[in-house]
Amino acid sequence: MLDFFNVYLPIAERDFNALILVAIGFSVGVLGGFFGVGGAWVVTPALNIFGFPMAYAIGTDLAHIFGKSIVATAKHRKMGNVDFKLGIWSIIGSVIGVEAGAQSVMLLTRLGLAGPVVRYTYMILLFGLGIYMIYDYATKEQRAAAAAAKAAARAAGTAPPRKAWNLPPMMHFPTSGITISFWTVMGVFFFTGYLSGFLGVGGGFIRMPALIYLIGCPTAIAVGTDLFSVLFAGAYGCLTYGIKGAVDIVAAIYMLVGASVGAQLGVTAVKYVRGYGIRLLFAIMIILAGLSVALKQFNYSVAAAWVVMCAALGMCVVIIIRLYIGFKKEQAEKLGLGH
Amino acid sequence: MKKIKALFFNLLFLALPALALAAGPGDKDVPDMATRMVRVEGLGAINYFFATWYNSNKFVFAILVTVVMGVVGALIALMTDVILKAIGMEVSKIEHHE
Repeated sequence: MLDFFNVYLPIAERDFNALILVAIGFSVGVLGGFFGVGGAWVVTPALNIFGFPMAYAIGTDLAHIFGKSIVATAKHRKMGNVDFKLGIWSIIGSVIGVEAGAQSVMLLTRLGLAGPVVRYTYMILLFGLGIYMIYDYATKEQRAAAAAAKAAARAAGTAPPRKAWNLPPMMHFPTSGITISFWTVMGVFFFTGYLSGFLGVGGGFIRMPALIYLIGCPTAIAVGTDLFSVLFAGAYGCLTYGIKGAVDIVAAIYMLVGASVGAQLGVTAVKYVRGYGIRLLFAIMIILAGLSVALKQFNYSVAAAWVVMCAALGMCVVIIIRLYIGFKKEQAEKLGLGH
Repeated sequence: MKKIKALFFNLLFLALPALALAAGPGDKDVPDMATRMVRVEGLGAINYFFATWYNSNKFVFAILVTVVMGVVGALIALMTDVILKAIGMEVSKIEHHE
């Protein structure tokens, strides 16, 4: 019955269901807009499940990520969530890091260790980051109380000020409201870029928590700024894979249609969810992604793809429900004020 | 003394990327289809357009893909924005609550 939606992909030279492409694009668009990630880690296995030719999967995915990031970044900018200065530094640091990461993979490949080392690092990173973010969420009240007590002690002159890493030159980022050493900024983005190059991923899911925990950005600004960086990575990926002939432009357009609508909804949902809420949902998502990588490592490739796809769909539903509840609440408040 | 220390660390950190990149250029495991040709017979106008450029010049094809993605993305964003505004779901600058 769904054959009705089949379209011919001129570059991949085969028919494929347009509805599936739009649906995958939509789900990843919602996640991308809400978490500030590209979402290649969801798209590639999802396309794989439905039999999309894998030779074109990565290029097609990157092409649609570029288009979607324009949509999401523009909307985040409207909401004051993009720190352009920080975003440009993140691109500079990441480019150097990505290349260094790729060098490490080449070295490991020569030693015959690349596959397992990369996968185990990926798993440790996803699980570690996810568990840390959940721990951070669970202990936020205690930490807030401890910070307030420390501040009070400092005000009373009984505690020394906190020692900060402040090697000059110092940089000020007014949008994020932070002043930080240039070396911290470059170090963090070099590190996230390195991991991105080492693992062969876009890196949005590494950069977003790094912006929060290592740079000190508010969560919504971390999401918007990360998307700004993803935009450039997507543009470069789109162009370079296009030159290699590995992009099916028609499939990418169908995915982009879904992703652009999804991204708008995902970004709007950020307005209704507090920073810690975004962090918690992100933590759950990357733990499930880690589970998917673990299944793949133990040769359960189909189960791995289903886990990541179901996790993405489930999270997408949660985000849309939060958006709906927030919107309804806002409408009710507006009506209440009107009367 | 403090300035010399800062200068030393600045130079050291500046040298780090150069050391990391010293091993030569990286390589990605990307299938290279640069010489591949696709069938153009019997294709509709749009598919024919894309397939012809794919066959004749991959660089122009890549530029075409990038531009189309940007333009289509921006157009859909504009339309969705209008629809969301119409149902009262418009966005403006927000307060950043953690």
